Amino acid sequence: MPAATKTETSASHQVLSSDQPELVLPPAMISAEDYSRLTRPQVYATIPVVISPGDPATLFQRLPQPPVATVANRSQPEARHLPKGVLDAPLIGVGAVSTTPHLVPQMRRRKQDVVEALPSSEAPRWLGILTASQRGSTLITLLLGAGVLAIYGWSVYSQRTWSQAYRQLSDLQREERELVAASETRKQQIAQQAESPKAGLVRQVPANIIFLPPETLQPQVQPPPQPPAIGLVSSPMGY
Amino acid sequence: MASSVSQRSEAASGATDQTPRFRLLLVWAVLILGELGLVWRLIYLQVIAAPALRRKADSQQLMSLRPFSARRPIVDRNGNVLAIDQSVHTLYVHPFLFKQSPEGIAAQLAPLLHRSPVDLARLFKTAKSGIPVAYALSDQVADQIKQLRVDGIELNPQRQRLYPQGELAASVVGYVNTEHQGQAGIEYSLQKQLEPLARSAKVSHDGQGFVMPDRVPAGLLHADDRRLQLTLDTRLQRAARTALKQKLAHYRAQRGTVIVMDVQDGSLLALVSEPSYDSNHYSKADPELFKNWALSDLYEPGSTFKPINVAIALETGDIQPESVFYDEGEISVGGWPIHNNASSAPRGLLSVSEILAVSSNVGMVHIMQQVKPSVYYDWLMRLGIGKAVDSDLPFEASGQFKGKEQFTSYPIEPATTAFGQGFSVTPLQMAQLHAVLANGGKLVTPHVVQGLFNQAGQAVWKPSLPTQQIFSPTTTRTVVSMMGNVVEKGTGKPARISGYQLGGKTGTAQKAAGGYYTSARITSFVGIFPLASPRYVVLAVADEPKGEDAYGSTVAAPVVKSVIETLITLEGIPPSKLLEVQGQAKE
Repeated sequence: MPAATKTETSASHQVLSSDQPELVLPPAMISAEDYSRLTRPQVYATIPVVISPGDPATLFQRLPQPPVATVANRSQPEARHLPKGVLDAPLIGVGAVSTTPHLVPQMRRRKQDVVEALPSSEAPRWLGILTASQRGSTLITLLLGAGVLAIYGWSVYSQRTWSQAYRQLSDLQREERELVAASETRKQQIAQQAESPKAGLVRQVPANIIFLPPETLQPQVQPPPQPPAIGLVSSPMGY
Repeated sequence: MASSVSQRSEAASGATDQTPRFRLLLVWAVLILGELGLVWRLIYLQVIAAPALRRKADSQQLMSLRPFSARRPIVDRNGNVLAIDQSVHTLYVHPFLFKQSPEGIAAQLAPLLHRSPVDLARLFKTAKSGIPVAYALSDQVADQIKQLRVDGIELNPQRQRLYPQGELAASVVGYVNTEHQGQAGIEYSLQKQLEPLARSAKVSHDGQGFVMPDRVPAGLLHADDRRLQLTLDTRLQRAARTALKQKLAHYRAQRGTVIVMDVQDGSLLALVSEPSYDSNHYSKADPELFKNWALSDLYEPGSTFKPINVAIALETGDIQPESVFYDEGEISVGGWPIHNNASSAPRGLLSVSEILAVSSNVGMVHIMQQVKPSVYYDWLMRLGIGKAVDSDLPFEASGQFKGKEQFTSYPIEPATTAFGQGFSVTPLQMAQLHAVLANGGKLVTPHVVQGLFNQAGQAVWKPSLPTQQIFSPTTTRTVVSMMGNVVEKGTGKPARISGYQLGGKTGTAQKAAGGYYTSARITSFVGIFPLASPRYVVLAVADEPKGEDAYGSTVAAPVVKSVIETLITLEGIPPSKLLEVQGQAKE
């Protein structure tokens, strides 16, 4: 109930009527803009806002405020007891029907509040480029990393293959050496055996060689007609 | 602890503003100091201590890779291997590293080494380390020993030279000693061409012991495939050796040699000197045999020198092929008597060809008396008498000849030179001089090495062989046909081969010892084959054959005949009759 909430305030505090701007901030946190706005004489029609006990706005307490001299109070004799400077300083709400109480951080949202637009959402160009390049370089890094792994694996594999091939090469070279040595030794043994009289071999002499004189060129002679082939031999041929 | 806590709390209560800042500074200082320390350590390790650390790392990680670089093989004309390197291992044992008992290790090694375990166990007790156990183990045995995985065993790889032909080519090829350095023959004279490029590299191994290729320098694996090719024909060498040994054994001669030379370029197809030694077991041989006596020992050529004298006389124009001289049988020159070998009976008028055929000393003296001694001397010097032949075999001796003064002053000198005595040459030089007659007057360099060839058959290195024209072709043709007459009708009859024509000259010289001629002889025969267009010179020399019938014609000529017969069958030389028939058919 509206009346109930309003009784929460302290006795010395002047509760203003509900038709005054109720945006309140502690004096240190108010911006100059807001301050100038608030000190302008304005009248608002306000709608009473109910603050339930669970509202977060109730987390904030209202700090005791120094008594504020209003226009109505100025003429009163208590006003003269105020120190000199108080009246000189711009009083919040002087000359205005509305004055704001120093209600510290109880924020009340109002639909009429103009929500000032934040600075432009378009990022500056250099930032865009930076982000794009970061994304691109991440991709490149991943690709390169995959490539590094692949190449490393391939290099290890090729080294292993080379080592095996080298072992094979030295084995083959060894075998070749042994083969040559064995064959040459065998040749020598055979020649020695051939020389011994037990082998029953005779030395080759020109008398055992047939020399055929090469044929001189002659005109092509038709070969004589072939005799008819002998009938197929059923038994295997032998000599 | 408590005091620092109280201090901190005092500080906290005292100067609430400065304590966080001081702590911050302290932490920062500690971190910065740590970082500086790390930087200094880094600089120290990477820059100052780097060389020493790298050496340490290399010594631990790298092992030297020495692919088996063999001394180049020596092959003959047809590719038969005369000398080849083998990979062998020497087994050393260090008993102080044994993990098992010496007897157990001896029992494991004994069957592989073919020795008794007891012997080996006793051997292991002789020293603590470095005991040589076995030499020249083959690769297979070495692998078997390695598979035993016994601690304290060391196998050193080495090279061993194998000579498959053994005694056959030892006089030409020579041998290498234990340091693999040639000591005789071609192994010694062509040491530089035979030794391969030393290859070795420090390489790293991977976890399984395989060699990693990243440190292997380029070209390390290119096998050295070059081999030294000789001009020898092993088959002819074997046949020549057999024939020579037979005659030497029959006449109980001290030593003998057979030289077969191609007259066109001086390449030697066979160079046999008996007795020979086995290059594989050179330590058991008489060191006298290590030099080839065919080119390191001098002898007086005797009658084999006569055709060369005739060529000189014909070349100077002092005699004609039809000239005739009177053979008195015995003459006196300068107070010295000269007579024929067989008898002192006069033979009458002889033509130059007949003088050669019967080998008349007196006839030769008369022939050479037609030539002025100084001219004669110059011709002999041009032929290279008294100088070495300069072949590619080592330990060559240069002949001996008198000085010009003495030669021209005393008439006995040209007279004895006329029939081949009073000076000395090596058998190889004698073959070279007859090649001059056979190839149309060119002095060629006898050589055994064809060159260094790679597997593709390309010559990588060839020896330089100078030649020089001495006689004119007409002169030499005349002399060679006269030598054909020697074989047909003269003392060279034992060398006749049916169907073929060859020229030859016998030689029987008395050996001089202590200033006197002894009864010891040195017999020789030289053959030029084929007669019509000579290709080969065959010289056989037998030193000190014993017996009354030991002459050049009986000892040496049959050897030359059998060598030429083998040459015919190897080279397929058609008989001269066939060539005549063919020539007639072409006309």
